[in-house]
Amino acid sequence: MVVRVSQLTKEFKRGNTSFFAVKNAGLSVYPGDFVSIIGRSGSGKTTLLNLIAGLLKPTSGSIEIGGKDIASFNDAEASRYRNAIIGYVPQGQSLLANLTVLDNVRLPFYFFRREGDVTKKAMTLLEQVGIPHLAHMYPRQLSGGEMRRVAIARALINDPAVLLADEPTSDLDVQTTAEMMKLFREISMNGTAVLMVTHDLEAIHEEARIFRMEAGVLTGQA
Amino acid sequence: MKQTPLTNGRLSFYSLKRRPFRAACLILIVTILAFTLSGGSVLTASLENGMNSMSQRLGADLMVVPEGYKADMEEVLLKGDPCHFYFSPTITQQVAQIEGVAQVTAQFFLTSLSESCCSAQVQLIGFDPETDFVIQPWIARTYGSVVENGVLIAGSDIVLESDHTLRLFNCSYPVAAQFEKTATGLDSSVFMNMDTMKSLFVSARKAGINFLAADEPGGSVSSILVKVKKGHDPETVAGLIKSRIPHIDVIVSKSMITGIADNLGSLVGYIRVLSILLWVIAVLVLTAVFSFTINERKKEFAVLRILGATRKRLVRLVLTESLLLSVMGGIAGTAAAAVLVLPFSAYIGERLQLPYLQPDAGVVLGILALSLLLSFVVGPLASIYAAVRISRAETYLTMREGE
Repeated sequence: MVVRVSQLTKEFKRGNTSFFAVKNAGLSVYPGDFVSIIGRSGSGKTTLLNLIAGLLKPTSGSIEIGGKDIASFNDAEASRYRNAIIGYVPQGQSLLANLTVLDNVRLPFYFFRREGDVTKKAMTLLEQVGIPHLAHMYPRQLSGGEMRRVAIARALINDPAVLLADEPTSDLDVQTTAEMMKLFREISMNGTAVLMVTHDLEAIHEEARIFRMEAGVLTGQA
Repeated sequence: MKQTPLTNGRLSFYSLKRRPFRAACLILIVTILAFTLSGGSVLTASLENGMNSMSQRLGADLMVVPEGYKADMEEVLLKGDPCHFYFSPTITQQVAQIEGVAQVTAQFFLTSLSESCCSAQVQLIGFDPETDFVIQPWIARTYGSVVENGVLIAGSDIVLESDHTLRLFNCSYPVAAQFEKTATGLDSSVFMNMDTMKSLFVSARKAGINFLAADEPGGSVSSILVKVKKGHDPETVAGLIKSRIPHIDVIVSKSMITGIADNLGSLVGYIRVLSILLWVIAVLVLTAVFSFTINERKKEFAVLRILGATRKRLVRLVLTESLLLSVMGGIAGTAAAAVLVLPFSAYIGERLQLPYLQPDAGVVLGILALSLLLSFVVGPLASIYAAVRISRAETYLTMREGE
């Protein structure tokens, strides 16, 4: 098992009232798994993803990675975990404008000491996502779909155990959405678990395990 | 395919490169600051050095001159403007007998001419080796020997003939040594003992130049230098001399130096205040700019956090970026100051009309290094607030902004 989420709750305060963005969520993700969580905007999908990524601390419950509860991690541990175990594809444009495509992909490799030919690996990933010819372009020269592919390649640079994707097809056309889904499926088939949240029913792969999220409550396969 | 590692320095450099106009403006601010700090510090150190040198070199507590020639004497001492004035040598003995006077020595002034008879127009100063307590200590240090008859010692600014001589009133005199720079008028004066002065005087006569009605320097003196006994106030002794001997003026060295020091103090004060003010303004401006810029770049830093950058790394990135700006601006400003201030020290000293003596290379290098360091600190200091703020930002909330 790659990730085990148990009784996970995240409570936020808005003014004097508090609400549950995630309430008693439970989820297990296995190697090579392909999980889609669907739900409306504001249903708590992104909050759940951020909790799993260690970007938010849960109010209660646990997120176990390799038997360790990430809620107990300090900043350095959580950052290392995010950098090595998690690959995160954020919603919208998330590339660094001052770096080329190749450098955007290589960037997470340098956050912690590592050995290996990162450039070769980055080029292989760009080939895998179908855009090796764009390696020396800057993000401003790319289309929305191409930028998303770069973000996916970047998320895979440190061989993560799980790839988190937040609305990866939100602003893409139908054809590009289908290509993205195919890419995610290939990634999961290569052994990296994919956990994707979306409100777009077009972006659901037929082979994915599908969960539904509504008002912070995660329900079993839809 | 070989690619350079994406270190903090490289990421910061790429970030600056992406906003060249903003980077250039910030570098310019630090450049101006570094220029003012380095240039101003070299300037003030040179003025203070000049002042110290002057007070050491005057050597006498009082200077007695003919009535009405106080200003001329000060011109000789400060600027080296050639002039000559005389009074009776009997005054030397009168001054020596006044209460509180420890030592007296007379000097005789002559000026060479800017004509074919002379190498240049300079101030010629004759001293009495028997009584002198001002010139000979320098000579002993520079020349290491007593100046013989017919031999000259020149100030540092005197340009000698190629054979190391000076041509004065159609006669050539060997120059035994040149004094080190003092930043006073003495740098453009030539010194000799009274016997040499007498022969020079005769040469001048032969050349048709009559400085005096009397026959020779022994019959007149130009100034009497006085050393006051320990425990006596030079101002009081000067008052006694003035009240007892008619038709003379007395210059109190300490008062003259204090007067110059007051002017110099104001100038040094202005330069220091300006430097401090500029430093504070640079820090404030850069703080504001970094703060605005960081606001624009919140999402960029949130992405770095998502990719696994620690909060410490974000702080280091912001500080490195600001340090790069400071280093570029600091080096440019200090280099500009070194190029514009150091080679023109003589001109600056002349324009300021104050004793200006550039410290030796080691001290100048120390000043430049310190100014450089202060310029380097500006950027990181100004960006601390922005760095801490961005490191504390919640990635989750930042990424949701604008959704």
